[in-house]
Amino acid sequence: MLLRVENLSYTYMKGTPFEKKALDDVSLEIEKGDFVGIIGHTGCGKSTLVQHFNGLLKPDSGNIYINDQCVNNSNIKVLRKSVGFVFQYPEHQLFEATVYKDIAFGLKGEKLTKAEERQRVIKAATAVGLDLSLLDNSIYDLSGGQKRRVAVAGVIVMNPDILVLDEPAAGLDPIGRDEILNFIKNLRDEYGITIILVSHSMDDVAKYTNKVIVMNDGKIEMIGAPGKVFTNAARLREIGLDVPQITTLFAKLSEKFPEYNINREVFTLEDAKAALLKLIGGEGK
Amino acid sequence: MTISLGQYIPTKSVVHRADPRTKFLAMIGYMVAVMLIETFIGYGIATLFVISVYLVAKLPMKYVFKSIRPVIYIVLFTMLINLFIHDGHTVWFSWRFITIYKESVFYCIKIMLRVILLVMGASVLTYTTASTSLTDGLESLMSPLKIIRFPAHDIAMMMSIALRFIPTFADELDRIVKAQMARGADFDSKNIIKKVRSYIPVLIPLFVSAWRRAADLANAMNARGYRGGEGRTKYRVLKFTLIDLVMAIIMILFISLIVILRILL
Amino acid sequence: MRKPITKSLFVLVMDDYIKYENVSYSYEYDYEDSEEEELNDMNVPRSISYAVKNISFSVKKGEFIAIIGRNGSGKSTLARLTNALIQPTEGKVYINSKDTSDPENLWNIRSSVGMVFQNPDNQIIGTTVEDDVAFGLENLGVPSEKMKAIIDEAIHFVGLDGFSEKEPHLLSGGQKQRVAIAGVIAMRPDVIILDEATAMLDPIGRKEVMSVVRRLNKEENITVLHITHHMDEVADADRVILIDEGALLATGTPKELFSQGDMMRKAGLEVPQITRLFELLRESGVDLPKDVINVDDAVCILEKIIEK
Repeated sequence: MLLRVENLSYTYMKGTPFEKKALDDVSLEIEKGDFVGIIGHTGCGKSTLVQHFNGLLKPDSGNIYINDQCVNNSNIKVLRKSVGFVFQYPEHQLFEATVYKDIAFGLKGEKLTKAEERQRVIKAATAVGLDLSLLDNSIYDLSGGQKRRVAVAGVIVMNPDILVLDEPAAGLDPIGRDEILNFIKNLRDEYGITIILVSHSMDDVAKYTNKVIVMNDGKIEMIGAPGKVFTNAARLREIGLDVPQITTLFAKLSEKFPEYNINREVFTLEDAKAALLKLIGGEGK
Repeated sequence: MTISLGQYIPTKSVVHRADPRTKFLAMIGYMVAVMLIETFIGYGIATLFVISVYLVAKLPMKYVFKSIRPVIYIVLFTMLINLFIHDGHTVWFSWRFITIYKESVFYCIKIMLRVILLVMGASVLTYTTASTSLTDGLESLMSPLKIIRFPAHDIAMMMSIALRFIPTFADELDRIVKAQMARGADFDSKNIIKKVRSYIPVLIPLFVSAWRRAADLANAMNARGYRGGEGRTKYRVLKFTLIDLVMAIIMILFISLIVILRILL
Repeated sequence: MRKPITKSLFVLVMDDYIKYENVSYSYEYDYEDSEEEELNDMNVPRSISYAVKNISFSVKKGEFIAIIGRNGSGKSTLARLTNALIQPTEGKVYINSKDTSDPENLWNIRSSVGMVFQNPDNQIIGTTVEDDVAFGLENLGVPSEKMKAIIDEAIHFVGLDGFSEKEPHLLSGGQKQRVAIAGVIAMRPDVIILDEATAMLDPIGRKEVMSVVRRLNKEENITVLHITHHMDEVADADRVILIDEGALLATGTPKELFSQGDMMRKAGLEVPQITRLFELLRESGVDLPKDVINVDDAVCILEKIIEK
């Protein structure tokens, strides 16, 4: 098992009037090659949860295992390398003079030769689809989308096994969203990095993930394949989440026509098209 | 991450209701008085006075200690230094080159009392006055200086914006530190130079973000019709009331008492 | 689809509350500090790039307009031209027949065209909710004794009763944006511009903000210009304006625009999932209408086909 969380609890500002239980007895498992979506509204504990994955926060109780090794104070730095973390609006943390230097920042501790370093930086830049001619540019000359790629490259340059991304598409237009999520998908497909995507967009989660974790009020509300999770549309709306339009459509159709046994677990355009063609073609014309 | 801003404690006492200008002037008067004190009797009176103010302001006694905590090390450090370098007549203790005089011990205790009393008094102001009325009070007190083109309004506006953005920047700092830690930045280094250097990846993004926020805020202020202090009205109108009169009388009595003590003893 | 540019005389119909006439804007004209002028003096030939190019359209009082376009298409520039934060390089913008480039009208226009920006943290000025709502009133010189009632009303309208004395950093994103809206409506504007005001919010925050905006439009007849990337918010608009590379690409009802999927995609945008699904089905030879944008309509249509 690549990542395992056992009975994790965490409380913010313990012992003050602002005390808030952010995580309450959370357990989960993530396998190699997964593309996991973690969704929930703001304050549901999803950000707190993922910050535990590479030791940015330390649990009040419970354990985290990476490659079956329990994370503790002595091995935290080793394990931090296996979990890369991309924060929301990651372009805001860029600071070096050039794109190259910023991507290479995370390699400082590794004592590489110049050639090795260059190779790693180029590999990371290629992985995020960054034009290599930009490497010597100042980070302030880049567009918003390019900056975000640089920031992700600066994390995957450390060769993580798992990459956690907190709202990587925030603030982008629809095409920008697709671009960034497509290269993230590519990171999994081509580079074998396990992806954990934190999001409140159901559409993105539906499109890319194979496993969904729904959080609410510090607890795991649902966990499973996207199709399964989206069938609980009523509950999802109750906890402040949207369901993809297509899922709603199929839910309504199956209510209207119980006799056709319509599959409610449809959430991608391709599946929806196929299912509807079958339905209309088979019965109507 | 939540940071309690300033240290305003809303217990809704008379002291809270007093005009911030009165409190501000009272604080200055009190500080001058404390600086004038030379005898232990004087310190006793001032201590009683400031503690009764805490009681009237309904401030829990733990806040007395909370106010002192940040300065305690500085106080102890100066005490220790003075203990050894201050001269006197009556030797209390002597060992090799270290000599401690009775006078220097008394002197140190007085310094300590003075600093503690000053901090306790100043804290009453921040404990009982919300940051908005603090800046309003300051603006009003500084406004006579407008005659000599002193930008009283602008300074008060700057202070109020600074107060407003402290928690925002605290959050941002937390986020950037974590983001750089996730990229392998090491903030635990023992080496001072390395430690300072390790904060560059934090300070540059923080500065860039402050710049961006400033531009955004200027835009937002313009869009809402801000054009400086000229012709501007205030939502919070400062008004002197009976409370302020009583407070002023008490302050004058206290200061007179201290001055009389100083002359007599 | 480009709307023909009417070179007609300046007949200002009372109905047109906002009027853009051949408006262009280039950031390069904007430099006034000496440093930049020196640069210009060096006679370096440079091509002027326009953030907004020759845009003409008008908005009636009480309309709900959605402005869409990819990042950097010029939407925000258009917004800032509308409340005189910037003035057009060429052409004119009129608000209630007042020219935005006339400095005399500046303050009047800014008080009648309110603006809510993208980042909730960077537009709240006051240290408490009520102080922030008061900010605009103070700038307008409203007498102090009249403020309390106006502020309470504005805070009530956005549904934040009981939050008056809260510090802004303790609020959620949606609440902060509603404080910003309260600050704007306290100034009794005729128009409110939301410059990607929902972009940084989660679904709950977006719903809170949109329901307040819809009520402002319906109950108070306030004209709304809503700039957004969220197509579900666009569906509510009376009219949509699509901008790309600074130019007006198309205008029409949400249905009219969404039924042209190719054009939307070319402009870097998407159509709602349902509309796209129908598009795909049409490509496979199913006879379906183009302008279906919500689930309920889709269910109705599919129902009829299936029942046949």
